[in-house]
Amino acid sequence: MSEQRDTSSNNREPGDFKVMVSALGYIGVMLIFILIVFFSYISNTPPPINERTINDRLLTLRESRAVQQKDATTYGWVDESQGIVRIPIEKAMELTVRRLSADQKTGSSQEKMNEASP
Amino acid sequence: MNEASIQPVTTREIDRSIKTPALHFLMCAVFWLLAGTVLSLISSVKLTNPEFLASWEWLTYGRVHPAALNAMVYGWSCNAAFAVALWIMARLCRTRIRGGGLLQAAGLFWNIAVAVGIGGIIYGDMIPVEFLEMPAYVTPLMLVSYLGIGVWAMIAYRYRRCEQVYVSQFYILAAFFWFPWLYTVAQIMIVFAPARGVVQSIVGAWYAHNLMWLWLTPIGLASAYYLIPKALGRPIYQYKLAVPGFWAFALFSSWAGMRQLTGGPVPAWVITASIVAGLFVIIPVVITALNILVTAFGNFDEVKRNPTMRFVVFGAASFTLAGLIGSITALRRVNEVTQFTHFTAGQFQLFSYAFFSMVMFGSIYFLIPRLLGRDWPSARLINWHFRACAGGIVIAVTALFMGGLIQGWQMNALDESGAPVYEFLKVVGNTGFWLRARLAGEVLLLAGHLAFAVNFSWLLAKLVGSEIAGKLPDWIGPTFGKVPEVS
Repeated sequence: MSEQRDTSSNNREPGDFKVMVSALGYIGVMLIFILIVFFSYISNTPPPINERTINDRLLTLRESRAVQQKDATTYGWVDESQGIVRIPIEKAMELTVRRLSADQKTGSSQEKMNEASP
Repeated sequence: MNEASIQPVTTREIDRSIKTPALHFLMCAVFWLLAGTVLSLISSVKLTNPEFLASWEWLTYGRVHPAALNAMVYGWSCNAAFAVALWIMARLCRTRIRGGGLLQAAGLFWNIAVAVGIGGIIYGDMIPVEFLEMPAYVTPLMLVSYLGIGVWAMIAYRYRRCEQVYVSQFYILAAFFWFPWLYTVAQIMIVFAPARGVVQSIVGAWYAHNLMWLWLTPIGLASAYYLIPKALGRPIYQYKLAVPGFWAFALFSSWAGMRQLTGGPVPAWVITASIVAGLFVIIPVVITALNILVTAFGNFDEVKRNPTMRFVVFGAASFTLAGLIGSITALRRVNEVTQFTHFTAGQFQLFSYAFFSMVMFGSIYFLIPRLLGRDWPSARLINWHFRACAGGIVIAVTALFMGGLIQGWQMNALDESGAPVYEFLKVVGNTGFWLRARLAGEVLLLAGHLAFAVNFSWLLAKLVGSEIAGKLPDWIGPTFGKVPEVS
């Protein structure tokens, strides 16, 4: 195996003390980095989920559902400028059933007429 | 400053400075390689025959599979990476590794931590997050041990005695900084002060992806960039592209992990950013393919003849394939099919084994004769090792890819009314053939690893003057040729 000798001007190796100080420095920097990550994360971590958090979430859920319930059961404007309205779901279902029944009747009489024709 | 410290450093002195710690890392690596392969084989058998070893709770699939993964990643891969990366760094910096006993002690504690961690997983103390399964009580020991190991790469770079800095040094130095960042952030946000809800999934996916891409990949690429010109005696095809390739790698690969959460309850921008980064990862992959594969295939005869080159080129080709497949599966439409199937296991095997482990095998075949001044005892065992591992991993990965794709299509298939075409158990049953094929691949891998372990142990036995070498049968073969001089 060949022995390559370094011919660069920087051919002095540092002493053991200097190397140890550098090693401790690098380890220290990495530990400081870990501590920064830890404390910056911990300080921004929300409190653990407790009874108060659960109650807050249930309140928000109830409010959200109340708004949805109101939207689903009352009349109101969706876009007044374009004349689009919101109607209760019950009423919408009733109208849809009525329209579908009417369509079906029209369709059946049309079919009968088609069958009767030669 | 003593007299020795002002003498120019020779390659022999550099090798001598790292010989004992590197051998220690490699012995542990070989042990974990065998342990991980056996555990992996057990878990593969359990996938085809769930009743196998079913009466022992500590050998259930849920424990054996993560134990195998951790043995392969933190045991085999990390130990091999420490030995190879520190040696390459020292060689390129033309300086001795100064850690000595401290480095070896840190390595010992690392392996104790891995052993306790894997024991903890098998005992049932597992943390249910991929690649963070080891119990929390080993984390401080692993971290401190890692600092005691990684710092010597930084010291070597700090006191380098060369004018030029090579791209291999970039990759190794970056990897030694990236790993503690990944590990501590993941441990803090998942284990010690768990983030709420879906953030845990995001951090878990980020860690699992980057453990491969920001820790193992840079070491693998550094080894390939170092070994190919050394072994072939010719320069890298487009070396000037290597540095932009490194920066593209550093910029994009760390973002690409969250794409595996596609379809999950995660903010859409997180997944979209990850998909975009996953597509851009193609840039460093193509640069690496150009540099390494074009350089190697220009000397194909040497690649076939040289055991180091065979392993490294196989690994580099696998990296290219893994990178391209990773970019394609980043797309939502593709991910919807491959997600939660055996396809993702195939991607992991292609990356961690076909790329990283094969490059490490090649590096070890190159490194050991230079460290010990002795050649490998059996060329035939090296050939068996390569053929068994290359054949085994091709079979295993192909089986997982095919099985995974079929599994994904069948799980997503819907009839006209929107109902699933295939029952779930039928889909599971249809993967049986592919899982048995994967098992055959794993058996071949075990055979290859045994050949490697026998060759390695034989070399160590010869080194310590044991009689073991004399008792081995003649049919194993002649010694592999003389070690070429390294310049």
